[in-house]
Amino acid sequence: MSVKTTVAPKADSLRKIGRIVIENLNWVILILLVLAGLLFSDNFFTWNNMSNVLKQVSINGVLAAGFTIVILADGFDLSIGTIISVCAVVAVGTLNATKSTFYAVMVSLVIGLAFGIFNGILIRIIKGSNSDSFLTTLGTMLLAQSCAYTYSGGFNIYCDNSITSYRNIGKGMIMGIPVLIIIMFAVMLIFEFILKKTTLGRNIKLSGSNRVAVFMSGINAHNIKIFSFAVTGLCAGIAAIMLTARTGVASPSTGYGYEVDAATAAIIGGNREGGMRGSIIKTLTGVLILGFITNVMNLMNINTVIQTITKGIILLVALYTNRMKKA
Amino acid sequence: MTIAKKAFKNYRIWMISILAFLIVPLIKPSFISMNNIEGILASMITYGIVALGLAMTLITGEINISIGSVMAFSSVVFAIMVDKFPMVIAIAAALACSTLFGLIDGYFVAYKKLPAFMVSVAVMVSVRGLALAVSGEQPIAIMSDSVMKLGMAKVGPIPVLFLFFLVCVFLLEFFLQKTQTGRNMYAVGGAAEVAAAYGLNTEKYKCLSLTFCSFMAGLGGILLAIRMCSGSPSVGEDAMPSVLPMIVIGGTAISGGKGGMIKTLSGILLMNLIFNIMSMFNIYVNIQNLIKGGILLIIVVADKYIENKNKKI
Repeated sequence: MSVKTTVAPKADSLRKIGRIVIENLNWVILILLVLAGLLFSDNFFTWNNMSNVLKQVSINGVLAAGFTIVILADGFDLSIGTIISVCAVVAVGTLNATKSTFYAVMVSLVIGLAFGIFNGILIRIIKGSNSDSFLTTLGTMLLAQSCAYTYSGGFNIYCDNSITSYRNIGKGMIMGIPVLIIIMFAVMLIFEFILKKTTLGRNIKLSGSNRVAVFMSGINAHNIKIFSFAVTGLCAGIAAIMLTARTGVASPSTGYGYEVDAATAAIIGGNREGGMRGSIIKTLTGVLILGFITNVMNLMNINTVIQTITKGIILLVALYTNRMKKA
Repeated sequence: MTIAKKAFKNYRIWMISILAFLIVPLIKPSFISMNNIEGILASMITYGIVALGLAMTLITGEINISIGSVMAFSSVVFAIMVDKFPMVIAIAAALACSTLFGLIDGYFVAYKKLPAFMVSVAVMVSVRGLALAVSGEQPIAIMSDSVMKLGMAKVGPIPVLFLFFLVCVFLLEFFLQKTQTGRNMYAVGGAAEVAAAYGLNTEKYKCLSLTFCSFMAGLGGILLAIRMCSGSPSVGEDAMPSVLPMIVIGGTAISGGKGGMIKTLSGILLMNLIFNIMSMFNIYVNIQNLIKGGILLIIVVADKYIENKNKKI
């Protein structure tokens, strides 16, 4: 009898701790990674390394922020990687032709937005759920890819370096903080505000988690879906500008693999498709986790291929643990 | 009239294919040359085998996008093993690995109820990474003579590998139409709740179909390696957009419960004919990809539109 009473609370408290760990898995992984970084390398916690990590994740951060909105609205956008490619080649092409940063930026944003709206309208037509949007964007992915290859003829397009204002987006600093990081935090802040404080944000989350309730309460869930895909396309446009401004070159395969990274970041952070509890802060932790994995493994001289495998496994674990959380 | 209608309904993809064989030679006589027909047959083999596996998964109402990566991994493993061990062992090893990936996929999708495509994205990324790691990030040439002979072997004008593919098609069609397990696959895909209420172990069948899909993808990778005489970690990157239209054009619905292997064969034939004809008329490869994407979009949108037409939400 006495044994039972002593064992039961222990198991209970263990379960409680396990529960807390699973609920906050993103923070736990993040802290573990920072500890690993501190252990294995002296240069980890320097300002230089930190700003480097933030700069590296900034592009993925912008994408993942947009991706979070699609995921919360119960969609999945596979095409953002190739939308980046097409935006990048056209933006740099426009920049070289018109010598105007403004036009280049606008063209990139407009193309990204157009592809996003195209996705959204298609999914509105088919009244699609999560897996349908996945297949539809697979088609858009091919379209965007062949557009990028056709526009560039398969070659790399180099930025005209005389136009410094464009390259400054990627290289410049404002008060000692790189512009890329500022863009990332600005985008995230805006999206967090939309999700937390506006009716639109509420509707986005609701339309993802309970379509029947949305229909009954007279909200147009399809238009919300179009909005979410358009936002993701816009984010791809922004990311294309950041990417080309940073590297100074746009190739038709620029965006390869970015869609998986963005999805991984959003899901590792703990956003569940159609979950009401999603937020951009969670996505930020996911983005940082991915960035730190790359950074720590680079500091430890681990092959990039192993990093890819690790990412896939972490994505699987995150998917699994997201299911165990409260909805 | 009704017979003609019924025939058109059931065999329209075959008819279009035959029509292509009748019309195109009028403009391009080289279309029906022996060389070109052999080329068409050979191009059907690898993605055809993969399409059969994916068709099985679609019939049970799931999807698996890791097929391209699994193809790459199995081709690499086969290429590494075949020079040191007998071919049977190499094939067995590659297939065992692919089946294992399928099992992982199927376990999480069927028993843990995770969304199929997200799990397969995770599997896709890790398996592609594994393929790159195993191969040292470069293609591996196959030196073995027997592989080269097998790749070139023909019975009359028909490649042996194509015959193997045909045998697979008919075996699987028999399995789906005439065996208990095969019929249950349709039941699970068509109405999972009804099947479960009827007493079927739906998880088992879903897991089985995903594992089988991965197995066939592995087989496709091996066949590709045999034909190319090399294994490369970057093959199969366009597998999903190439294979899915073949299956859906054939008449297998993405939503599950409909379709078959002979139907899939017709889709495989038609899509390969389309791309062969486009190459004949010197259409630029990027435009071909554009058309591929367009076909995929139209197919998916049409399929889903018909399915959801009467839904309000």
